[in-house]
Amino acid sequence: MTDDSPPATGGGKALEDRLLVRLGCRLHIPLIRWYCRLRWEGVEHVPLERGAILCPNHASYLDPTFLFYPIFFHRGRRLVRFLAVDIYFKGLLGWYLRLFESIRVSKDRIDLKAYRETIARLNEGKLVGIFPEGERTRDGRFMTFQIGAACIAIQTGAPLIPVTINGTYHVLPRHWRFPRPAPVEIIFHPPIDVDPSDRLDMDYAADLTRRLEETIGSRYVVP
Amino acid sequence: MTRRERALAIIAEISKRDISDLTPELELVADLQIDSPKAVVLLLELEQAFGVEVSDADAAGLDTVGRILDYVERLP
Repeated sequence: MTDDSPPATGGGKALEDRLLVRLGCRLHIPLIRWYCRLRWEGVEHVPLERGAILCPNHASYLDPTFLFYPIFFHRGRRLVRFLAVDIYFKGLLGWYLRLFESIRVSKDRIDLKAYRETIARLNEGKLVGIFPEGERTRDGRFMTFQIGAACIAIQTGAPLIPVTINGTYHVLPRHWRFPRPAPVEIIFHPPIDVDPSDRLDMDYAADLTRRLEETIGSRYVVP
Repeated sequence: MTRRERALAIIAEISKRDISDLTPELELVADLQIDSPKAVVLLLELEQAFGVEVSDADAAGLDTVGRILDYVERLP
């Protein structure tokens, strides 16, 4: 699906209604639609109202920007609050991350506050984005998938939505400063439902993480 | 069940060890393979079990079985 059909109505939540946020969303359109010819499929797997954890592979700073477009314009103007490492919360990028209510997480220590905030957002019915690899790929291949997203899913009962992103490694990999044009494709996979009955079962968290990696990898094109 | 027993049961379940194997000097990461995401689950479970909010400063110091047991026994 690549059409520019009229945005669905809905949402009505504070962040989504802020003029600056809505303007910011539209400012990305030239990059997303014309510079990189974004295509996507399966966006209907993203719930219109309840909370869910979107779990994409990670190749570029621009991954959240590409991901927001089909969700914002085709799933009731919903926005995704991404977890972002605290070192990026400075300057213009920091302002941007705060504008979109990104969840600040420490890179160097156990950050209970970030986990509590993530769980709270999901319990409020928000969409949260977590990159299971924790950092951008270095060479196009997946980094090690971490179990954090699955642990949070088990804590909250929120479904995990695997997302395959192809092409952003060519647009802006970690060793580049400026984006170059290249086609980008996003595949939203069906949700993985999570049983929250045993919060302490780490084998279950590991199994969910394996399923995430397998599902994302099933449509991933190694650059 | 005492606080100590409750905390040990949580650590045992997350680390998949027998409670009788959990001695105070064992380190969460090095000995029990409780890495960062598992440690978060452990601390959140302790919070829920004992009705407290573990501060980041306290969390940083809870790196052995013994320190966790001391911590829960000091709770009001």
